[in-house]
Amino acid sequence: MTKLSVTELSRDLRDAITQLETTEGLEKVGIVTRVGDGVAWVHGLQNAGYSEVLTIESDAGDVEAFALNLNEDEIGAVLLGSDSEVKAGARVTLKGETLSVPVGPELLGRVVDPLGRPLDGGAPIKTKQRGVVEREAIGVMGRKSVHEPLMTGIVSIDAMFPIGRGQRELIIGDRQTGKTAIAIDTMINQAKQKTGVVNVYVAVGQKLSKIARLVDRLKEEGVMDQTIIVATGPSDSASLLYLAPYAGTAMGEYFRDNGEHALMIYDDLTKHAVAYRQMSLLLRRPPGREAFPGDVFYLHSRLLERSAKLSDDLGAGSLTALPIIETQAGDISAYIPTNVISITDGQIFLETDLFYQGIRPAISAGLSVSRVGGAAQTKAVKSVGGNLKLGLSQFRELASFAQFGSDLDDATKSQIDRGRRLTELLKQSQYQPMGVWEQFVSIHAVTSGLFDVVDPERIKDAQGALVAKLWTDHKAEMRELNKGDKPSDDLIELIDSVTKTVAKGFED
Amino acid sequence: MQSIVTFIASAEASDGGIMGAFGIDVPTLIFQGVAFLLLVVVLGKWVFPVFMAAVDRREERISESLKAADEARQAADTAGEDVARLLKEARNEANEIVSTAKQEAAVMVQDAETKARNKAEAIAAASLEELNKEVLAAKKMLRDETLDLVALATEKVVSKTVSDGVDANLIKASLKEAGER
Amino acid sequence: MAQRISRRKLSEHVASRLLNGDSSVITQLAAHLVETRRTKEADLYVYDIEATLLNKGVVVADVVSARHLAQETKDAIASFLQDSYSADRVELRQSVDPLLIGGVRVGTADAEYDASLRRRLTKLQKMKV
Repeated sequence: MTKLSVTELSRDLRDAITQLETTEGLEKVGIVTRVGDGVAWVHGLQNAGYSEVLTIESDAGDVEAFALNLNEDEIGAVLLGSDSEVKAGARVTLKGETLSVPVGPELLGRVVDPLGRPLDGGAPIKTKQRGVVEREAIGVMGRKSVHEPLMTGIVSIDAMFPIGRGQRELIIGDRQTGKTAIAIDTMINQAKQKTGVVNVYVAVGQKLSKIARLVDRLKEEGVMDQTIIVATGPSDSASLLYLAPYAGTAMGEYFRDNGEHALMIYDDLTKHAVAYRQMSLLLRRPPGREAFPGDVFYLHSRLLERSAKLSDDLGAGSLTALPIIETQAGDISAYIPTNVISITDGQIFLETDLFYQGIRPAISAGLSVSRVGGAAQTKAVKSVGGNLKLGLSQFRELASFAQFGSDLDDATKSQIDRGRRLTELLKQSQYQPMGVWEQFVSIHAVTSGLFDVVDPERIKDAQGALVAKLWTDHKAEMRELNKGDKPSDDLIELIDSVTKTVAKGFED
Repeated sequence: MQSIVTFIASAEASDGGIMGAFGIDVPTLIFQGVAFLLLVVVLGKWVFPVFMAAVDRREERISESLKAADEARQAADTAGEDVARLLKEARNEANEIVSTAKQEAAVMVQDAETKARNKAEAIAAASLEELNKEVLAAKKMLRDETLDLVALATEKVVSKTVSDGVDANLIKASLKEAGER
Repeated sequence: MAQRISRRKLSEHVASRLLNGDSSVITQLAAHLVETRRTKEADLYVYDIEATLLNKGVVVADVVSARHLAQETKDAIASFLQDSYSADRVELRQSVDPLLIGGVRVGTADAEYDASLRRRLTKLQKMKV
């Protein structure tokens, strides 16, 4: 327990008083000529650099801002605090550095704002290092191709659209389709499978109640210890919303550059683009399509390019990104969605129709893609994923004939039944990510035909029984299978025999 | 026809002999013999086969029924064996299921225990965290209050004690320090 | 309507004419501001003109102190400014503000040197976390 030590307190105060003895010398100053809507226009400071931090003195303490508009007569500085504290005529000084945030393992388990200030009521964060918020992405030679899997624990994704470490995979869909749920399950799976991947969840303009619920859930699942949450609410200034993804990336880059692996989740970039639009319009920058400034593509491209898999020379660390974009009425051809789709290495498209049909996660197998694909898939799941994809695509083709039940030939009927079983199999509850072995045995049971005797509506029960039985009776073999290598023929035989036994119990 | 009968009647009265002594009339005998042979032929050709066929058929049916009865008996025996085998298998399976269920139940109980223990630890850790937060907040408040008081005291004291000379020296000293930077 | 001339360009023009000894430029500037309805920026023009003069070796500084300063002190301040800006000329504008308690505050067009006691006390109070 932190003790209330009087000696520590008095030493602290003595240090503060000692600091007063030093004088600063001639300091460059400017003055605020006008302020409003989160932007302060400053006169003077002709040597200010782009994105340099300015300190504005006010009665309630110093307010920081960063210079974004360097005009001939004045500087347009975006405030990082409330503009109600800043008055015209206030003194402005240069901090001499661009915006940086504290980075390091001390941030793990904390909820912070984009400037690194704690929001969880805990101790102030003291880190050994600071990371620059705006940084150039690694060049071509510093990268390696993506070859390690990042297991999300969600069967449809790991089997059909596998994500690798260092990849950018967009999660796109309408509101309330389960986008954040996929991101949360991925985070939980990293803790469950003890992968050692650090999660950085950046909430851009998300409701604070939602963030609080997320923190509680992560604590419950034991994930919070390897997670950093950078939180901004809808009532925060546009500048903080704009900075949040970059600040979060700086925190993630610390782990990447030190040979570790980190996962970035940007929830969501649509609100980020809107905040940037607000800032640009207030800075009087010319509006373009949909009133977005001309560099809104660059806004996201420079952010997402920082997610990469580093070469062995640079430590072989990786930074994987799962940006989230919210569409309106399923329109993925709108401005921001098309921008981000062209930047990322694939997308997972969530459909409202599927969601309301009860297919959750509501992943559209037809429109989703992973451009890294099999290179980043565990061999075990890869061996069954092909049949799964094939079965589902054949089912999709025949889906419209499914209503003609009795009028079809046997081959068609069996394909439709197989497809129904696969669709049922891919349904997954929230907060229950599955390991490699569970995914393998489940998919294999259906694609090999061993579960053909089970009624499609009971597939989930049969899957549960199979998994439980295998874990109880053959724990060692399942642990071995969980490592990801393609299973031997003996192991497959063993799994098949157990599957047959379980299937008999669910026979019609 | 009448003439034949008249002939046989008249012949019978006049001719006697040995046959006549026994009462056997030879023409009648011959006639009866022929009639008998005719009967035999008729029976043999038309009646006997029908009877024999009927008898054969009956015999066939009887032997078939006997065969069927034998087979049925055999089938009953085999069925009995099958049932016994199936019952045995079912009993084994039931035992297996029961033992698996017991194992799974044990695992579930263990899991529940671990979960409960973890939850208790989490609650304890959370309350400790809350306490720490409160202490930190108290420290911060104390520090801020002290700073305010020190500043106020200094202001009050210094404005009364600083004279022109002291002020001038102060200015010169700080200018010198700034110039050296 | 003529294109708006930037304040910096205008100030540079005024400063160079002032250095050449042409003080009528001030009246012309005032008239221009009235005509273009930019009179509210008058203070900013003064700053910019002084900033240009700084670059050309003429320092104009505001000196605020808690008490009247002796000549010795004023000379010390002037020499400090001359060293800092490598200036040829230094002009001081003096004023008294008892709220500073002690020390002095020297302000030029683009910089400030605040060695007043008021500032140190404010700094102390700002150390509140």
